[in-house]
Amino acid sequence: MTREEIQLALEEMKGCLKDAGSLLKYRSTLSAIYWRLFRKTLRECNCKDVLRDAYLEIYAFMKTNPQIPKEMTARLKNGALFFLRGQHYTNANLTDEVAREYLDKYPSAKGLFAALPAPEEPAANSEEPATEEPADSEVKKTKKRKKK
Amino acid sequence: MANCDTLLASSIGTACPNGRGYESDAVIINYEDVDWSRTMLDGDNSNLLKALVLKTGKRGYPVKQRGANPFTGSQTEMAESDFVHGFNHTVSMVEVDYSPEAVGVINALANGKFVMVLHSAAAKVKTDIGQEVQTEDPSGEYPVFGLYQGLRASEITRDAYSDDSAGGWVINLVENNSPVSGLFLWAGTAAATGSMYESLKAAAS
Repeated sequence: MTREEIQLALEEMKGCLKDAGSLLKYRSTLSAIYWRLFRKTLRECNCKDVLRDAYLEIYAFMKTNPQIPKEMTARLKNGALFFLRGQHYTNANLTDEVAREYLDKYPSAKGLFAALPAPEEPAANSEEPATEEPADSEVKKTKKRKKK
Repeated sequence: MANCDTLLASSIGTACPNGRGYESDAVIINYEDVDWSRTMLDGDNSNLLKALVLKTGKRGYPVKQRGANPFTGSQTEMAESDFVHGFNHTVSMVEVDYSPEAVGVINALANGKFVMVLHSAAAKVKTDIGQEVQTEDPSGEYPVFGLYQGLRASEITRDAYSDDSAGGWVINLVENNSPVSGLFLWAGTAAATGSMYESLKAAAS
């Protein structure tokens, strides 16, 4: 979910703020946005202001933060927790980088994850040396053919 | 292994009182949602549950109790047997709502099997032992019930005019013949254990 998508969704819900009950149809959307930004679930109670409170919290975050947290693919099973470099991690503070580092170190821990982290994107610099080689090898090949 | 202990190995009555009862929040988990391949006891102390992991797509559900004495009526008593004595754990709670949604919850509680993690009001106050680097002793802050035998309903009643339940349901869940008198969630540190407890209640993964 991108920043633009979240802003569009907030704009769509804006008209429902006066009546907290009319936000009910957007519960799943608000829940998804809330998790995307804060890695927390909505407060579970029968109070109808839960959704309005969530909307306001999301709105305030989008206003004060020019960037939203990076989207994550890794997700632990509920209740799962691991330690890495003296710090404990659950879904609340997990990042894809931490998940990859932990799985590199302990490959057998895949069973703790509901969703594994996406592979790391290769760095742009690593492509430059490779492009130079085919040109040289072609020159060498043509020289060999001439000798024959 | 603590649950095979038959010999006393420490003193009785020397710990200072540290409060009583439970906090108003707890977690209830369907027994079949526990991922047994990843749930395990501490190797050095089998009264500690080092990991309580749920299957993919499953979650625990928060339980909230109002009033000055949440989960009042909860108790543990020894269950006598001809061979090895066990323990019966009772968790008592109230559902004040009387609605179609609440009735759905009651129906599930009546016939299901559950694990519950409560939040003890007693164990969270810690003592500074005066060392520069504090090691943390295992805490009894998060007692676990139903892990061995499962908690099943023994009594569910509703009195529309009862002051005890504000007209709602009184629910008693019992784990019969548990091999241990107590089991506590402990991830190694108090902070990690608190995080683990919160993660049990998160939306399904």
